Amino acid sequence: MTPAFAASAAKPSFDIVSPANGSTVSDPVQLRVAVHGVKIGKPSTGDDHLHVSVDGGEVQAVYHNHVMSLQLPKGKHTIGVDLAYPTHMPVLPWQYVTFNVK
Amino acid sequence: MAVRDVQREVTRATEALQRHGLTVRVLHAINAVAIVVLLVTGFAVSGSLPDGVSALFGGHVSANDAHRWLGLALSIALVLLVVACLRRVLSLLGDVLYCRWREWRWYTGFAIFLLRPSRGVAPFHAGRFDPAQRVVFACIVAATVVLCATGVYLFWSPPLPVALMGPMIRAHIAAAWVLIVALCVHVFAGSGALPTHRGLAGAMFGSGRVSVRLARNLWPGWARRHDDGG
Repeated sequence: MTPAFAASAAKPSFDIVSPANGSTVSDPVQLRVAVHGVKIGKPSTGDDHLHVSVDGGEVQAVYHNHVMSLQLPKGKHTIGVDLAYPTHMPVLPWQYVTFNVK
Repeated sequence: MAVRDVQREVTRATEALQRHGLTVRVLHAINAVAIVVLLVTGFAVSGSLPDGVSALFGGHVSANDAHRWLGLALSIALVLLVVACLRRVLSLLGDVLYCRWREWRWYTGFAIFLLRPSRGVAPFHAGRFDPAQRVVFACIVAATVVLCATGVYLFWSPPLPVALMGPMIRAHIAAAWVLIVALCVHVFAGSGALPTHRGLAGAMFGSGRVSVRLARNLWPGWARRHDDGG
């Protein structure tokens, strides 16, 4: 895994860079999230973190903004991503991307 | 000492004194369960434990909700307890903060007694709690105040300024570690693992009574005040 994006001093924001909405991708799915304006880290450090949910399933906490490799079965999937304060409350609304795994 | 006095003394030593009432024991048990849940969920949501621990509480979000709401409930309960029982709480704080400089000798005296409890004599102190116990309790009280204050701030941040979130989290974690260390000492002493503390667990998790012998060893001044028949 390699660092995908560095944080800047801008207002907090994030984008799901890949997979693109409506795209067809192969397994494992490479989830890339661009985070701006905040540092990503463990809550104990006071940094924000990401919440990731696949197909509405259990929310997983992600304490880095590296590329995430997700193993998903063939078919249509939706990934939701949320930028969360160290207290786990959302900084911004959830963003979703829907794609097909071939 | 006459034979009759010796026999009477032996009888007194095997009798028991009421250390804690039922209400205190029930509150202590509820508090203990709440603290354990808060510590485990706190470690889980801090990212310090494997995801499997969060799963025990229904996942990351549920573990966080449990930590937030239980922490808030405990903070409110403690404030209500202080307001409702102000005189008793102040009395308890007075017992915890009771300090006499000459008591520094108690530590060496008790260490010697701990090594040979069957032959030695427990050093005297007048407090309801022994000097080491008071230090532990003072740490627990101070850590609890910081944990509640910072926890309540974090509960409402936002809308409270997020700029203070980092310092609040660091203070929260530092206080949690002080509490953990103090509780480890508290649990070890209370478990009765030390030969000088055998039977102490029953004071909180049993009948609330301790033997006169134990009370005289650990809290000789308190035992003297309560053992008026001795």
